[in-house]
Amino acid sequence: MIAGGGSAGMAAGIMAARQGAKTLLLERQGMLGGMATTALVHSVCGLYRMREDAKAVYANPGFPEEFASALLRDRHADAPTKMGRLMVLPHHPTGFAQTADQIAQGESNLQIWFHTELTRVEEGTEGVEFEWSCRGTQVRACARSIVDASGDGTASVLAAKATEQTSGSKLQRPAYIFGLAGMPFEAFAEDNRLRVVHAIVEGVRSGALPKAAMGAQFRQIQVSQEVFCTVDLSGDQGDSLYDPLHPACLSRIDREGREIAGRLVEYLRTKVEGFNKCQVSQFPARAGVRESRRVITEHLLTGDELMRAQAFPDAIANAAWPIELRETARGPKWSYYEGEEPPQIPLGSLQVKGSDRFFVAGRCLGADHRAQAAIRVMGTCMATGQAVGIAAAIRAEDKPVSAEAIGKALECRAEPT
Amino acid sequence: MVMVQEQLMEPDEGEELESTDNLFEAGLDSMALMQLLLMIQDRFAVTIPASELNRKNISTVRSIALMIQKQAT
Repeated sequence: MIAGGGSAGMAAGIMAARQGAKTLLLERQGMLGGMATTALVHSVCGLYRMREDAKAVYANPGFPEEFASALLRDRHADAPTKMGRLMVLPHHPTGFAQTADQIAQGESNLQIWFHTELTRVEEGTEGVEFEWSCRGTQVRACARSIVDASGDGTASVLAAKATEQTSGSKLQRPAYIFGLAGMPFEAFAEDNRLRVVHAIVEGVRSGALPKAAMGAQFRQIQVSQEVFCTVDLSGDQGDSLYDPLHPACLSRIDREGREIAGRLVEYLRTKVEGFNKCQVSQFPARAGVRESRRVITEHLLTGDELMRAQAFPDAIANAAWPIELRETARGPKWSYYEGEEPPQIPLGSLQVKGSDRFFVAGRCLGADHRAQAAIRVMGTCMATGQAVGIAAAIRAEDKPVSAEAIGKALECRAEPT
Repeated sequence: MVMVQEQLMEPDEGEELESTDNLFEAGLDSMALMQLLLMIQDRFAVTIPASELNRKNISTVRSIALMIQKQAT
């Protein structure tokens, strides 16, 4: 059973099914992709190795490469784009969901149930019992192994597994991303983009725009001719610190994001040439949460290990994205690893402590706060997802799970058969 | 120089920014640019008109200094 259908859960479900395991994936939204679709995050980070030149070299073989290639093939992504030393794949969120559907539907062992929430998880000696709920209907089921790819460690908490969380003052801030329509495409050409920057700064100085509009970042997706705007929110309100697990805070940041979007668009319409017909074309289903719970695993991956690109005997994926800390809403703090070889992620940081049938992947895997700021990106989530998908399938057959066994399976199962 | 370095959020730890380095290549994103613009106008008590904010004028620390000087005189 896979809890969550974001980048990690999707990869886990598909790879487990390809191993021959009868796989159930539970997702609370109506589509796969998680942040890449429902939060409108529109570029896949962590897919490529960090290089001086502009060549896009995949950091992880298997599902991340397969999925990125499918996005490009379906014209749901622009060509890989260099951002400083980093390379990202700008994608179209709607197209991401379509490509995900297409790949998942080809897997006969994979059952995906959208609109379901896990309500109970209990690990026994023979397997994991769980209950899910859909619009008030509760259903009980049993699995031989489980993957927590919920992003928030939801399955782990329900099963009374240990988790930890950085204090609200240090947690990575959320991003609110919305779609824009009604501007000519050249509104963001070189110096025109700077006019938008200038207008926003003037708006904040004069009080016409809220401070949170500072840093509003606009990105055009060429293949879909869409424009997205990203605003980092602080998530705090007065004495109440940011808490991405509390409905009061989650509701507040969604409302705040919509309000900023509305005010920004109204302001730009009157202040910037070409924006007079600008409109918000879509809101995300939810704000982009970057960090919440982290599950306690056999190995705690640390920021220091990533920085020195420590090699692990049980490595199962590469973490090609640098540490990108966003502890404030005033922009990122980057830390780059040493050398050319990307840091590794060990299997131990995906094995929930004290259990051999409970795995975790994606942004809530066993990492400290700094390491989480590197491994949380979607390309890396796909890589940790595919590793635990294979691991959970191996475990479901009562075979021993090892990095070597995962590597061997990956060689055989990377492409659809 | 220090202001620009701060706004670039240490893109390369341990590396010093030179006055002729291209800031866009060094990682000047829209957040850093907006904060820089706000600080320049507050610190130097100048108003930078929209027409002056172009890629040429803000591509290096040196060109930013020239732009500020022009507005202050």
